[in-house]
Amino acid sequence: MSVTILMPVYNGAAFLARSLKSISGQSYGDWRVVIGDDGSTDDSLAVIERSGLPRLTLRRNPRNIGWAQTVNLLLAEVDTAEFLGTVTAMLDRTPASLLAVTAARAVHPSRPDAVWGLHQGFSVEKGSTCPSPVAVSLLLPTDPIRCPAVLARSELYRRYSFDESLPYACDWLMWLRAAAMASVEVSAEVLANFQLHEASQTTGFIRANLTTIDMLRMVEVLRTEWADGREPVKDAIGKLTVGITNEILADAGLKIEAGDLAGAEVQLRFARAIALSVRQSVLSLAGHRAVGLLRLPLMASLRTPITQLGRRLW
Amino acid sequence: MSQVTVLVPNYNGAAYLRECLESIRAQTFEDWEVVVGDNASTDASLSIVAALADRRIRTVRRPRTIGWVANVNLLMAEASTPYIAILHADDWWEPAFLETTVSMLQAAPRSLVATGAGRIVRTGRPAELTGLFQAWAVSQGSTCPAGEVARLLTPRNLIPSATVLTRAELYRRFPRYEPALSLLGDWLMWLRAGGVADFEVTNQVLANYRVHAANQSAFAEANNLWAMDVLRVGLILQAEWAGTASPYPGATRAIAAAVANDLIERAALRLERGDQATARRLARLAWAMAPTAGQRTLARIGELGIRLFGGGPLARLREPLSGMARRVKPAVERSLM
Repeated sequence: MSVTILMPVYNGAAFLARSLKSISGQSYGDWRVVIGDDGSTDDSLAVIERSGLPRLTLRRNPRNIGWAQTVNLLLAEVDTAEFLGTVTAMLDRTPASLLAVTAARAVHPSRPDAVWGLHQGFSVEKGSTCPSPVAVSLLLPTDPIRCPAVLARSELYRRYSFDESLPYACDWLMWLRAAAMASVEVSAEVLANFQLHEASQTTGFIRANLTTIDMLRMVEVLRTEWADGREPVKDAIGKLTVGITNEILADAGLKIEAGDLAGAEVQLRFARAIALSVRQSVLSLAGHRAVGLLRLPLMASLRTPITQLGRRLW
Repeated sequence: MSQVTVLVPNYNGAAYLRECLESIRAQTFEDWEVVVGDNASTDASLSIVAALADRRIRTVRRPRTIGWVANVNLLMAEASTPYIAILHADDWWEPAFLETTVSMLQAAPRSLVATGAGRIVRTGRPAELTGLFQAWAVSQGSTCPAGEVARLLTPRNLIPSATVLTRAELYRRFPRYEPALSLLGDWLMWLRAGGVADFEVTNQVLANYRVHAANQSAFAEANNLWAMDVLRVGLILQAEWAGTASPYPGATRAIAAAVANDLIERAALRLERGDQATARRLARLAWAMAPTAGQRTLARIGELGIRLFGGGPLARLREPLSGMARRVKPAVERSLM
């Protein structure tokens, strides 16, 4: 078997059938699937049984332990994972690359589709192999890679597990490590879809602030890993810090729009605390002050126009 | 069915595992069973368990090494007894542990947790004691009420997990240790539980807790992971304790202040070791977390001090000044809060 597809599932009944069908419909046939059910309480197991998917193994966690944890347990199932579909040929041609990444379509219930991928920063016309330093540079400001659009050589996962302390950033860290080790194969073809949920927006306060901690922690982990001249590109930690400051500022913007001014204030303070560039310091300070003003009851009616103005300036 | 399940998470703990398991077998209270959760060890751990040939001790194995929190959370599914204890492979109990804690919980039906004193064992240093008894005088009675527990544990975690017996109900109400907290998962568990449930407290030394100099905690220190875990605990509880869920008056502010204090102390330690860059980063994070204008000012002054005295010609003044700052800090904090 060349490819092992690992699928972590937690209460995914609504989307699981579509996902399993996309596996059975692959033009490339040399695969097996291992599903790790993380203590689902919905119909997920019934949907899996009904799918009739061949070469399927089901592993069940007796309790819900988390996404990264489930994937790490699933990694024990991999013996000779390699390639899938179009991506297969890409990794086949370039034994040095550890990852192949395609474009991925984000499907949202109420917003138009968007496309994500490494191809947005790397022109694939001259060849699909994105050299390691280029791939790292593309991954430092933000994470454009979505899990379903990735095929990895199992060698990567023999070396690294997903960092279980980073529920929202462990994949980003994995791709950064992979890119620092080897070149990445890139395709601009949309070969994967991922579902966004309305719910993920409204879990709001807790979730977004913990995203901030995840990113801060990721920087700390890489700071040691890349210390003493091991940085894959010049000033990698600085660039990553600038990247996450932007992410935090963007998060704060979303919070202001959603009316969560207290949450936005926390975000803006973290952005100020880590900002490296003058531009970011000024932005977060201005944002911080503006939110302070907006929180005054007097200003409530002005919130929307001011926020819109802020967005245009940004 | 037995009364107590002892969950023993183990990863390459062969050097200590026998002592740990023997300390369970030596308990004066005998109605227990043990589940060792082996986290894909590569040492002799499994043969040590097998050599005991004790049918009260069974092992479950992970196919690949996962985090210790995930290992514990999975182990929880193995327990179907009224009481649960978690004893890490490098810790061990005094013979009276179970007898004492079980009878405390039996006598106090509303309490979910019983905890004693733990002896912290470090190589090359005298043993120290830690426990909730240091904040809750047991002369007032053994029951530390809900809310008060959370308040007493807010500045720092006093309870090592080896000193704890819980009712199984605790883990029905709080089903898992926070998966992302590799270092402070137990602190968050006691803070959450201590907000809604009474704790039984004794000052009897019932458990021993080993701290390794060279192991994960040293790695975590180098990576600032303690600081990151402290921040995460702070943000989680600020959200959970907001509004009517506050376990005691001013809880969200108190946890934020505790986190900011912790970060400032870590910054001071880094500065003493000459790591100015990390000290500055930590001081700035402390500023971001600080709940009051007074504490924010302190953090700012700290950061400015690091910048001025951390290197260059003024570095000579660092030690006398930081010593002075440490002496006046508590008073300044009190006046500003």
